[in-house]
Amino acid sequence: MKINEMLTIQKSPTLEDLRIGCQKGKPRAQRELYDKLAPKMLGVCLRYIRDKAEAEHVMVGGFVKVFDKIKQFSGDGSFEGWIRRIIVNEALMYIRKNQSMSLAVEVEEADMPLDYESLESNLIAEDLVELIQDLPVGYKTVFNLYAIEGYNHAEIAEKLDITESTSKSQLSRARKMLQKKLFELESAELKDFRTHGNGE
Amino acid sequence: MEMENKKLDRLFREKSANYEVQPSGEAWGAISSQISHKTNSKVIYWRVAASLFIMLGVSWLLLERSDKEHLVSRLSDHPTIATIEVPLFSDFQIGEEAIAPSSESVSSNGGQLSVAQIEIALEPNTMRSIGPNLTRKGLEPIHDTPAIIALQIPSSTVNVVKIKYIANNTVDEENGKKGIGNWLAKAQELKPGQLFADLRAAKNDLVASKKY
Repeated sequence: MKINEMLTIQKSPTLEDLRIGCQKGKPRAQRELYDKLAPKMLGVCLRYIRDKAEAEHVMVGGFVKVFDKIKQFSGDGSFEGWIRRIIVNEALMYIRKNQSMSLAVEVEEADMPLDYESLESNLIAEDLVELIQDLPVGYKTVFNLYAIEGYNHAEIAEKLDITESTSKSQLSRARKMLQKKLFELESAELKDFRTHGNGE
Repeated sequence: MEMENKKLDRLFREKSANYEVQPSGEAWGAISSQISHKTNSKVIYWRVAASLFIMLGVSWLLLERSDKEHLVSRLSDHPTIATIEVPLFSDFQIGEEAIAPSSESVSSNGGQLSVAQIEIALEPNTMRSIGPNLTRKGLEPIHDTPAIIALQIPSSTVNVVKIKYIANNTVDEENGKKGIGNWLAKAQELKPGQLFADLRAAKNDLVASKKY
């Protein structure tokens, strides 16, 4: 009996428990929800906004909105997905206010076959986020929304107040730029490996 | 090409799903100050609403009580028991002719509540005379009511003094009415600090009139 009680006490609340607690306005549930999701949501913000202090500021604003609107969450679909959409919208608002969407950078056409299996095993999340962060604002935003968040071009066009064809061209340029950078990383790693191998 | 794009997208999507960065220590404070502010203002609205409600209730009670004729006729139709609970900080206990109250301890949620009780069983109001030398500090003597003249508070541990006022007003209806009327008039002169005792007295007056 005692062991059962202890297990019950130690069992951490699920997102669903926390959602219900937050909808009742319980401060403890709010704090636990924040602890659980803040690192991930800051990660989301950082993909859009490179500066950590700014990204955190956006995340704070996003969470305030989450707690403010939490009673409006109907329970349909993923709760985490709902929070993430609020955070993403907050990041987009920030970008529209503070960063001009440079849409004009050309990338040279090049066919660069990549070894995705090796990239997947050799690169960590930080490496890839850094590559995204290095993209020009317009590319970065569209790539994030399309490839990672899963919005389609019509939705992106509406969110960013651009045309669908602009969204498509930004995505294609972003992809080319990322391919190029991955290719460079791949070659650099190969070179590293060779140097390292020679040294042994 | 399309295949390449899908591979590229998938690589970034899957890897960045695990991307987490611990926020600074101040972030939660910034959030909670903004959300608790909202909660607080709601609480304040409720408090204001509750205060207004209480004030309206108190005003209603006072107005109701100022309708003395109504009360007096109701009380004096029958022998009545009126109980007044007086907080210790009132001036009620001062007087030359002291009546030693009985003490009792009452359990309340917060622990022991010590109560001094006094019971004054009386002849009809007008039949009891009060000497001119008897006064109550802070209050004018009520000459035709045989109400409390003096109380001795047994110790500093007493929180509440209960004074049970018993009057049989049926003998002389006119004077009985007048006596209770005076008594109620005096009750209205109580200071704000004594308001709760006052209200309780009013409530008790209303509910305690019963035949015996």
